[in-house]
This record gives sequence, C-alpha cells and structure tokens, in this order.
Amino acid sequence: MTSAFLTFGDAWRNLGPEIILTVFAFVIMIVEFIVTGTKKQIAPWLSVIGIIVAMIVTAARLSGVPGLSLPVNAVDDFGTIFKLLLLLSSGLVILLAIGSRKQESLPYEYSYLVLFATVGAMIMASATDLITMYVGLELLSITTYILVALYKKSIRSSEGGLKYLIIGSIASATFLYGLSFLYGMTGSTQLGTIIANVQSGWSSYPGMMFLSLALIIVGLGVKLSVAPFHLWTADVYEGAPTPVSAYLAVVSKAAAFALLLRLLIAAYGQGMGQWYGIVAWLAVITMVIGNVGALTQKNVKRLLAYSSIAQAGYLLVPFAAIGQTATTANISQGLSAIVFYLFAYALMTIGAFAIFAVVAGARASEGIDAFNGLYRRSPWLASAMAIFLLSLAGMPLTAGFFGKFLIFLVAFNTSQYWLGVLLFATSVIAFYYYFAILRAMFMREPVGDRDPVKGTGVMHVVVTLCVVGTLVLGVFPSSLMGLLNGLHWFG
Amino acid sequence: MLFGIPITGETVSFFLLALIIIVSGVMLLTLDKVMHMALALGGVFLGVAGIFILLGSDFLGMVQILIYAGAITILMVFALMLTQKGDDTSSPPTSGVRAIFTLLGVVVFAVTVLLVIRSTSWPVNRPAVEPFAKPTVTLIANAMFHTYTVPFELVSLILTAALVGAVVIAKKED
Repeated sequence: MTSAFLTFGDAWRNLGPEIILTVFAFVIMIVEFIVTGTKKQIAPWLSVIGIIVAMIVTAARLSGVPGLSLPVNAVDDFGTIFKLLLLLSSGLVILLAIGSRKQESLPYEYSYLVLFATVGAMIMASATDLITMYVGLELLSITTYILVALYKKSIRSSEGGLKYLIIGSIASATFLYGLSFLYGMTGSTQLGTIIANVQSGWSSYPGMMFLSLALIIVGLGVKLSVAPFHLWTADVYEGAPTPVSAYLAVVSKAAAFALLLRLLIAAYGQGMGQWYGIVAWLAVITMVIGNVGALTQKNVKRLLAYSSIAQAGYLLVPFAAIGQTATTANISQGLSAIVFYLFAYALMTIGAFAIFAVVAGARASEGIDAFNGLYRRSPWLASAMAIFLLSLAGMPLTAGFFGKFLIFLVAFNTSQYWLGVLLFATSVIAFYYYFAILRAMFMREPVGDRDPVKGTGVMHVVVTLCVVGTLVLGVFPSSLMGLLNGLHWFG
Repeated sequence: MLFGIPITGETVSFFLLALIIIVSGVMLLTLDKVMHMALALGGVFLGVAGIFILLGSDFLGMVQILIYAGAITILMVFALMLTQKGDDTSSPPTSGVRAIFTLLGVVVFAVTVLLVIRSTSWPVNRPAVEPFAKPTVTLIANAMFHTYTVPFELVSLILTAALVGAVVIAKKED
C-alpha cells in the first residue's frame, strides 16, 4: 500500500496554521539567538504576530476557504473552532508574559516554546489518527514541562516542573497503553477505520474496550486535572510562572478536551450508553472536590488552580449528559455548550491571572491579603477582577453565567436533572471563596501605604480585552452562539 | 501443554525474554546506585529487542539494540559519570501507608487486566506467521514517509523543543 508522497500544497491546505506557527517559531529562535540585550524584547512580539497570522488563516476556513483532510489529520469545524480558541488564548498568554516582565523575567526562549506547545495543542484538536494524537499530546506536554520550570530564580518553579514532568509522563504512558488496546482491537490507528471496525470490538471484546477506555480517560484526566487525578494541579500552578499557569489552565486543558471529545465520540460513541456514567461521576467528583478544595486556600494562585479543577468538572457535564441519548442534535448542542464555556473560561481565567500577576508583583505576596483594599488603590483593576471572579462564579450578565446556563440546558434536555442541579449547588460553594477575594478588595482597608498598584500598558490591554470579551459574551451571547450553531462539527 | 499454552520454541523464548524484561525492570526500580539502574535499563531494552525479533520485526529489533541498548544506555552512563559527584546512593523515605496503597493499586490493576485478558475470546485460527516474509525496512519506510509523514515531522518539533528546553533549563543565569 504505497500512497503518493505528501506534497507541500496538500500539507498547507491541511496544516496551514500549524506550518505558520512552526516557521515563526524557528525564525524567532534564530532572531533571539542573534540579537542581544534589550533588542531581544522583539521575540515575544514576533510570536504574537505569528499567532495573529495563524488565526486569520484558521478563521478563513470557517468562512469557506476549503481545507484538505488527510487520513492522519482532519480539517473540520470541530478542529477549526478549537484552534481559534487555542490561538486566542495563547496570544493572550504571550501578551500576559510580556506585561509581567517586570515582576517575573522569563528567559526569552519562552516566546517560541509557547508556539511549539500551541502547535501540539492544535494538532490534538484536529488529529484523526492515534499516532498523530499522541505526538500532538507529547509536543504540548514536553514543552509545557519546560515552560513550568522556566523561572529559574524560584526553586518552586523547578519543583513544579519536575512534578509535572513525572506525573505528566505517567499520564502519557497510561494514555498510550489505552490507545494500544484500541489499536489491537480495531486493527488500525486511523479513526475512520476504527469507526468501521469498532462495532465488532464492542460485541467481541467488551472487556478490552472498557479497559482501553478507562486507561484513555485516566491518561487525559490527568492533563485535564479532573478529580481524582488533580493532585498535581495546585502545586504546579503555584510553582509555575503566572503566564505559564494561565497557559496550563486554558490551552492545555482545552486541547485535552478536544482530544478527549473527538476520540471518545468517534471511537467509543457506539457504546456511549454503557459508559457515560463513568464521565458523569467524574464530573460530579471533580465539581465537588474542586470547589471544596478551593475553600481552604489562602494563596490566590492555588485558589485559581482549584477553581480551574472545578471548571473542568462543569465542562464534563454536557459530555456526560449527551451520553444517554447520543443523537446528532444532542451531540452538537453539547459541543456548542462546551466550546462556548471554554471561550468564556479562557477569557475570565487569563484575565484573573493577569490581575493576579500585577497585584502579586506589586505587593510581593501571593496571598489573598495582597488584594486588601485594592479598590482604594486601583479601582479599575479591582473592578475588572470583580468581573472575572463573578463570571467564574456564574453571575448573570457575564460570560460565565451564560456558559453555565447552556450546560444546564444540555443536562435538562437529556433529562439528566441531577447533573444540572449539582452544577448549581457546587457553584454556590464557589461564590463563597470568590467573595473572599472580593471582600478583601472592596471592604478591607489597604495595609501600609495607599499607592496605586500599577501594571504595564500591555497588561492593561490584556485585562481590557478579557473584560470586554467576558461582558460581550455575557450580554450578547448570540454573537458566539450564532457561529457555533452554524457549525458542521465533524464535517 | 502447560497452563493451556503449547510448549514450542516460540513460547519458550517469549517467556525467557519476558523474564529478562521483568527482572531488569524490577532491578531498575529497586537498585540503589543510579549507574546500576542505567545498566538494568539496558537489560529492559535488550529484552524488548528480542520481543520485536520474535514478532517478525527484525529491523526494529536490531535498531532497538543499536540505538536503545547501545547508544542511549551508554549516553546515560556517560552523563551520569560526568555529573555525579561522590556518593550517589539514595534511599527514599518509605512510609507504610503509602506502600500498602501502592500495593493495593498495583494488585487491583493487575487483576483487572488479567481478568479482562482471560475473559476475552481471542481469535485462534490464525495462519502461521511466516518469519521475515516481507522486508520490514520497506514497510517501516512506507509507514514513516507516506502514511505517517505528518506525525513524523511533528516528532522533529518535539526533539527541537526538548533540546532547546534542556539547554535553557541547564544553562546558568546571565
């Protein structure tokens, strides 16, 4: 079975955005190597440009520029919308890194390492072959291990990097073990052939199918920081440089979600009625553990880490809910809800991490008391943080509320009322710990001086973009919903 | 017939190789000196190479010996000799509760996998595999440069990122 060599034209129509990012990454690597001193500051800006160009090429696919699906990597609306989300978040994270340069000066190598990681994340969103999926996952994982350990002045950054390396490698190995069983039962690594052969897999080897499914869920569950595989999350987020924590919380998680959704719907979709209960229970455990764990945190970064665990639980709810009645309409409603919530989650999480970086840098403390009296010092930053936190908690008129409402609707549509009710019950806990920060910002007096907390201009741009995005998605959700409803997810 | 498995040259060599892999793997985890661990890893690689050859992938088996058992193990040994100073033995603190939970996890996982494998009815009427019927180098080349071009190119990105990352993390602050 000899096929033709892959021509560049075909590769471009299949992997255009990834090729752009890769070329930019190598150019930036050379530029960063050649120039010296303050001129190195150009490197992260070049990667922002690369991401914008890649976003334009990706967005063009949604408006009808045809792509070409290869057997190993598809071009479909599911992958494209996830790639837009990943690129948007990566761009914001690089801006965040530029803006927090004064507090945490990362080596400039981060500007192309982030691009490599984003290429891996984008491959995860569109791969239709088990090998491509695994390679994409490893590209993202290995690069993020490095990024976590990049802030060499802090011993906790190295510790976090090592922890993430060990736990992430075990997770990757578990995931690969699961894939190997799937390959053994269906005789192919390509999703198209797997879908054709999987019927006989469910009837002849049901035990093996469940074993491989469990291993895949465990492996990706670690990357998603779904409870009970979440124990690394708080330590790694706390140790990592703040922009990298935001990257892990948003890009890494969204990419793992894309991979999990495509793999489970395609390869295991026929037996969904039998296994959706596993995902439902994972969602429940994650929502409860994430929200309860956040209650006792005094460090804001750890608090955001636990809140991101809880958010992963909310994101699993629509997936679990479509399990019982997996019709095409239900699946696309569930996918719309997940993608909408991921967009909202990306904006509010990156915004919250940005303000945390400004405040923690200015007050030299990562605790909640660093936020004491922030409203007296810098009303704009305090108000923006309030919007992000209320959105994370699910307050009406913010993106987070509408995202949760969509997830709730999916759960109700498929008569999984208990999941919807649990979603709101655990959100009530979330209000409590978000209010601890709000109380510190608005009710407490500033400790010591009353100097305003100043962020750099870039930081204000990031915060403003996130605030505008959070409010627009909250007040006019139809702007994104219209787009999502028109998508043909898997082509 | 032993436990329902026919005793042939193939099964005997498989169990011997499996024994080598398992013993080396356990030694890798339990030995005290890092240098000894690296050598035990070499044993794992050699055993896996034997399994590859047993499965009819002669080229892959040889490459496994050349690159993994040869180059990578030696590289690791060199890296250890260059960086290790003084006593490299370390005995990690062991806690009883943790050991019990680890044992529990391992036993549960092993029993699950074993039960699933035993309860699955495997297709048995396979024709005998002709050893080394096809030139495996051609098959590997076709897979790498036709079917899996995209992941193959992506692996080069992983290597670049890993190499750059290793340098960035290891170099001194300027």
